[in-house]
Amino acid sequence: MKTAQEFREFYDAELRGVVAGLEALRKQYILVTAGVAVPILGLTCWMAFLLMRKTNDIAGAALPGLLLVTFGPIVGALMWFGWSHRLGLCIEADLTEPILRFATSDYTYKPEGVIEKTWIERSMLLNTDIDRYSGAHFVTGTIGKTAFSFSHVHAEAKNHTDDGSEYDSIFKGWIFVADFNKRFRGHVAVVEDLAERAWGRFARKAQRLDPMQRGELVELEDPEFEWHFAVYSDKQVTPRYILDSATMSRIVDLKQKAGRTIALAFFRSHVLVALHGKHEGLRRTGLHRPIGYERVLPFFEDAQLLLGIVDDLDLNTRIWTKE
Amino acid sequence: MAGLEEGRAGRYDRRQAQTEESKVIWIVIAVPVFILLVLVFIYNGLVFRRNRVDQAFSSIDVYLKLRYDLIPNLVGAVKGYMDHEEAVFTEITELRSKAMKAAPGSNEVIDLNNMIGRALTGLYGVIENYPELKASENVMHLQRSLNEIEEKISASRRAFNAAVTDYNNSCEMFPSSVIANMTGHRSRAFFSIEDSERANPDASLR
Repeated sequence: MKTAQEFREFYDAELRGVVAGLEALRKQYILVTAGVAVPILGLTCWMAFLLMRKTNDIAGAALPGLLLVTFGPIVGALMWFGWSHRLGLCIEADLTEPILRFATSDYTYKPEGVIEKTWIERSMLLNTDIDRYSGAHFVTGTIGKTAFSFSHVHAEAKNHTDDGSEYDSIFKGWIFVADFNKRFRGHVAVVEDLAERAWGRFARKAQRLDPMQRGELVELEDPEFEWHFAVYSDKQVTPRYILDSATMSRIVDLKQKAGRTIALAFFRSHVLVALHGKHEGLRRTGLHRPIGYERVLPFFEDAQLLLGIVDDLDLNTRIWTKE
Repeated sequence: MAGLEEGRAGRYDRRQAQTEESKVIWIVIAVPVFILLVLVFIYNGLVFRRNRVDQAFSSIDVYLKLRYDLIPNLVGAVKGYMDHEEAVFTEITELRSKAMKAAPGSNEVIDLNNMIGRALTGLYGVIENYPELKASENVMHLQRSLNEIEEKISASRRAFNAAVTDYNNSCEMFPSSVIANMTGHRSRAFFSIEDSERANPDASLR
């Protein structure tokens, strides 16, 4: 795995020039936006002034005058967001692949690809209907004996209200799928145990009911793991076969390393890891934010975290029938 | 007129008395029914947990049987290479034979399977000294299969212990302990390892 120091050296050697070009583009967009919006604002102010002078009725001309004056800022705002989005696409296109190539060499990258929705639905990782699904940065490859893939995912559910329908974001972040090193049947969901942290053992009663209907609550022996996570499964032996004491300890370490909400699902002899979004990603940017090393580093850290999951969960140890 | 009013008052009093009476009747019926429902709920919970313990125990037997079935394959695959290790094979074969004959769920079968586990560990250690066996795909596949079954046995024992914990809590904690004592539900023993197994295993077999 590459270190932050090595990335810094790579950035200085390979990316600094690209970032400088993008920074120049950002400044150019700002100038164009200002160059169009400010004259429009000036013109509309002058027109509003003329209107008020001509009618000799300040109160009557106030509303049309105001509408004229807002025209400039509206144009400016539309241009600002439009150029911001375009800049975000340029940043993504120019920086994503070099960073991924630096993080690992054995992979295939599709900028607009995404993990198949059926993986998430059938594994009960989210266990709610997904009505809108999108994603980007689909990477697939092999580390040692373990095949993996990951992508950024945004899943939304439709919420029917009195005013109509709107979409609620149910997950935004990275989904990582890898071939697990044991063969098993059924499904196991490992989710953050927020209830027990808030309500202690009384929460166990509510957890047993599981409104998300992921299955039965499985209570395991590792107190630290139980403090962080709740486990649900359709069987009692399968989760204990998958989650031995070493694996539970590794999952806790992974959560602490990630520094954010994580969830896991074990399904069809695969493991899925969901890392909730901590950073906005390369695409989300505004013209007001300078582009530099601090902007690029979080994406590299996310890539390293995802690629490190294979070693963190020791998926390359294959001493059972699955090779 | 006074008589009419007296009549009305009398009817009102009778109706009130009847309402009070029906309330008392409802309470007299509802409270015992409620208590009965609670008792039934507690009893059913005890039965559910006891059945879960039995189910967990039977799943251990399933994996033990898979192990019994694989052992002759492994012994057959390695025997030809290891002429001087007759004692190891004899021990494993005899233990397997006794375990299959022992009563399912008895302490004897538990002890015998613990001994089989130790004997297999010893056999794996001996295999390490034979490079031609380590190169054999058949032997390695059998070893992996047995590793897998050992893990599943361990997982099913953990599931059994969890089911026993749940059941024992119901048998020992108030108020279900009262029902448990009345209906013959008793705490069950956990799967535990012997003191000899707690010591670090001896990896050197020669």
